[in-house]
Amino acid sequence: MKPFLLWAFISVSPFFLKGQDVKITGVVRDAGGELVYLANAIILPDSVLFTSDMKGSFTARVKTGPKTVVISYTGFETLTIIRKISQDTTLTFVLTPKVGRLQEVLIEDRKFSNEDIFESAVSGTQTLSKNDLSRLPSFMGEADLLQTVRLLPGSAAGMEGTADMFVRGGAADQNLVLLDNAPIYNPGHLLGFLSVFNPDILDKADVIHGGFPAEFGGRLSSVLNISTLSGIAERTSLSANIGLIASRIKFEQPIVKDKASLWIAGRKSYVDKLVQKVAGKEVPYSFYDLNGKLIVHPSKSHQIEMSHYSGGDNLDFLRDVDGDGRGMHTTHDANNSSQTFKWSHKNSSHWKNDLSMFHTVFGYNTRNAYKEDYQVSARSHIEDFGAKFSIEKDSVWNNATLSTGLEWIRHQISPKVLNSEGSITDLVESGASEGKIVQEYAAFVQHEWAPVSRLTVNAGIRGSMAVTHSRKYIYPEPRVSIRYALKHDQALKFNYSRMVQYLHRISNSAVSTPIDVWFPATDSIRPQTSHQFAMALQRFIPSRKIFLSVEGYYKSMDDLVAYEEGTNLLFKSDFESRLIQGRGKAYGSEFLVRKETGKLTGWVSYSVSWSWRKYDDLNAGGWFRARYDRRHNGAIVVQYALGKRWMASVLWEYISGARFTPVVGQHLALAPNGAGLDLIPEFSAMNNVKLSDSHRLDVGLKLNSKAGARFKWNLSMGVYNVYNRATPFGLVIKQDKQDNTLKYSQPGLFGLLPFISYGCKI
Amino acid sequence: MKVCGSGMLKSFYASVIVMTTALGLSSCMPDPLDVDDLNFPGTRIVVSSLILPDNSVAILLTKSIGALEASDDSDPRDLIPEIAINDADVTITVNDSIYNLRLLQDGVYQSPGIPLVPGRECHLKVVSRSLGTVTASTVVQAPIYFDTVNVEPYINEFNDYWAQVTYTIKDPPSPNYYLLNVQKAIRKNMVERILKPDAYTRQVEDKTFDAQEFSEMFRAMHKTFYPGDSIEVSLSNVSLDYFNYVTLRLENQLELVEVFSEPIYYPTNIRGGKGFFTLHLTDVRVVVL
Repeated sequence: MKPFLLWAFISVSPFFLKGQDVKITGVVRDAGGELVYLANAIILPDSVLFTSDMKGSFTARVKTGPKTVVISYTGFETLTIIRKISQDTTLTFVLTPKVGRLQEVLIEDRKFSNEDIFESAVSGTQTLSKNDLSRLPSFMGEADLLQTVRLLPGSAAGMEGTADMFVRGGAADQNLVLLDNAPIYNPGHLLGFLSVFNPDILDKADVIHGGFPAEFGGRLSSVLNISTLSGIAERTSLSANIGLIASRIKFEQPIVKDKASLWIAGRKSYVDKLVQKVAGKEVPYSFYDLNGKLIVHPSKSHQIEMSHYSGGDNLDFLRDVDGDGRGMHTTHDANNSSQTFKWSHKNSSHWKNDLSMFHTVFGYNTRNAYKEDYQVSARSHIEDFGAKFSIEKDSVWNNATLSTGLEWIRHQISPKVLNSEGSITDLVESGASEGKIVQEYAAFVQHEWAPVSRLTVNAGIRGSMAVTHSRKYIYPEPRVSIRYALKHDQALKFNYSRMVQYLHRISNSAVSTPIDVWFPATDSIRPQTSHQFAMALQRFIPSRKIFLSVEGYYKSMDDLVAYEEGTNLLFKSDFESRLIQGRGKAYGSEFLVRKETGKLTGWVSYSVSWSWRKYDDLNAGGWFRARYDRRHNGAIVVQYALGKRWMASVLWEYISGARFTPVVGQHLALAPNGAGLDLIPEFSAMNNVKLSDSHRLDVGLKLNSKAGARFKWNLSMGVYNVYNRATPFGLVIKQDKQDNTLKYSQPGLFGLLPFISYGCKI
Repeated sequence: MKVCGSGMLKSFYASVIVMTTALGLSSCMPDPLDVDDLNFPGTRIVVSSLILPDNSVAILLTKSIGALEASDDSDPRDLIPEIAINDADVTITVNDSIYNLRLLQDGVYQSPGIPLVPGRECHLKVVSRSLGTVTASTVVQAPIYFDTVNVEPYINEFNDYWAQVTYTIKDPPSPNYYLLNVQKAIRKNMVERILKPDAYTRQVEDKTFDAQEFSEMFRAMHKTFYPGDSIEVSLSNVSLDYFNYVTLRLENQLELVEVFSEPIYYPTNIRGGKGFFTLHLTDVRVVVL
């Protein structure tokens, strides 16, 4: 790949060197000074079309002479200015709202448009905003980012109600989840039923499945890059949301007008109280999230952000079989925490520098105590420090962009510490897996340019290195995205990504659990790697803001991590010797139609995919289907504005059944030394059985307060799983109560479940 | 290990299951979906083997059954008559000498005269008129004997009655793998003896005491032994393959979490069948607690 890149750079370089015209640089704002994203403009008589970027700015090259610039944006008066341009010029355009502008719910609709994705060279990328989440029917009234991400093409769900996500045939640990640039290692609450991301603070989430920018690395399958609110607050505000299982509150406060502000947000569950009330059951479980951010804009060219996140889960469960108040006492505490600092600087020459630093921690402590006789506890801990510095220029050589940077992460991992006390020490030995410190370094450079008309090339390379105890792993990770414009609204795209993953998540079971262990590449466990090729045909209809995409991909994966058959990791602190490595491959096609604005918005997605695994020590060394090799995965997500205040939403999801390895037979075998007989289960071939397909319909209704009201509120209500169909998580053997015969059954977790939540803001 | 480990794992998953069930109860529980097209792949001959205290070899032949034909709660004693293979010709060949094993009852075949010389290879052949032929080979393991063994009652603060075993052995050179069992000695005959499963099993490797005298004390936890009970403590030196097979069995008796567990494909040395053909002598001591 290296020679290809070199050739590509050399062969297109003459295009950069041709004569230059004058440059118009501009920023589009509204009357209140807020930046206006994605405003459409045309410069006449050159007929140069452009759209303001996510920072409201644009750059265009034109011939010298008198120019007419026409700026338009939904809900604002069209702005026309005439100016003679004789040299490089910087302009500010201020848009005026239309009198009787459209209702707020429609105007605020798409801050982030698929038009950006269409215009860029990348594919396999989508952006979700807070609105995308809050308008959908939700599980128990809690809008959830990860549940929404899984409705996009390419993401397959794991077991119902878990935070697992399987992107383009990858594994659950191959998704890099970043919150303001800090990795979050346990993105699930409620044992995975909800994500840890408070929807109130979400600005946007970029979901990248392919065509990875060179600045991202560390996971094979996806990057979920979550940005929290980063605008300077104009006034003090307080918002709250009361749901069935948790409530949220957010406080926003300006500190220095237009210069500095902060916000603090919290979420606390009361699922234990709910279940006690509704079902009369004790569920001694709770979770919380606390987020905060300080935003400072000391000058127009500098931005500083400091954020904090902490969240935790607590389970305290007594299994009292004898009813004597004593029994097996299980406690589980899991905590995430992250702190970030980001400094951005953009100078007048359009050089932009970003420096970000983070600290993130995840750890858990699980304790099992039987009466006062013995106890066993297991702890795991991972702590990262990291920094990234990048430089970007968006107008080098004829509108080409160049970005480059360095990244460093220090992982300090205590994979597992086992402590046993009391009479159990004979059976479960205390011990600790060796602590690991791994340093990850990366340097990246990425260049986007248009070598010929209609063709855009985005080529980059990331060089990554991990230093373990006594070994270095160095990998080049080339990335290429190519866009060819078939028509002004149609584009053909191709991309290739090489990815490397230096951290693996080791699970004791077939599904992820809160007691999984993050384990780094070591002297003997190699990093996971992948190659991914994708080709997409995309269309964007600007007049109706409709995005259509058809994309096919092939991904090969090496050195995937599993463990030897029959390994019980739960009570082992030294499990490295039981880990095995193998290969994987996945391929499929994805379809997406997404409508961004108007009364009717939403998307229809469909994926057809295959995912395979091969380990020398599993399944007799043969290829077998991955557990979440779900053939068909589709979703219809519709939001419809019913008048000025009501919004209806419908979500229908169809997923092919996951693969499963059930017990199909059994035999009797003598216990050791002839001490009895055991019934030994016989399993089917690995993942040889497909669970039943599942589909689910959710409906929701949202009522907003009157537009312009000082006290804003909304009421959301709806029903999850309207027709009460099970989404099977496995095959179990049940005894028929009538005739005592045994039969297979596929139970699901959640049936019809109404929800309601109330939110307000002052 | 197996009782305690599985108990705690069960407890953890039980808390998860209780929580999800309770959450589910707050919704309408969806009806489980049926499964119609999952079939048992086919009946195979299952072999188990044992050297009895009188140095005779016993082979237990049963047939594998479908997952829906017996549950974990099924009593093997009830199951044996239904799945025992009684129509087989069973032979063991040692140094070109063929020994026929005689059917005792319920799939148990026995021959008293097989020369069990440590290190010698023995070949098993089973020809069942209804299920076909299986074969297997194994090497007779060198015996190991207790130098001393002592069993005392152990009563913890919660009035659990366990047995505390102290023993000494002289470990022969070369890697050895030991299995110790502690169980009540109430069996009247050999068939009953193997059909009454309630033993505590301990595995010991000699990595740290190769060719040395070794002594240790352990408690047969979670098995109830009252003072006055006759306790049978047995010791055998087994092959590494069989030791690993037993390890798998002991570590993976987690039926409650089967739905979350990865599958385990138990190894077998039976060509064409299931189970394990192993020949190791067992030193059995009976002690009154």
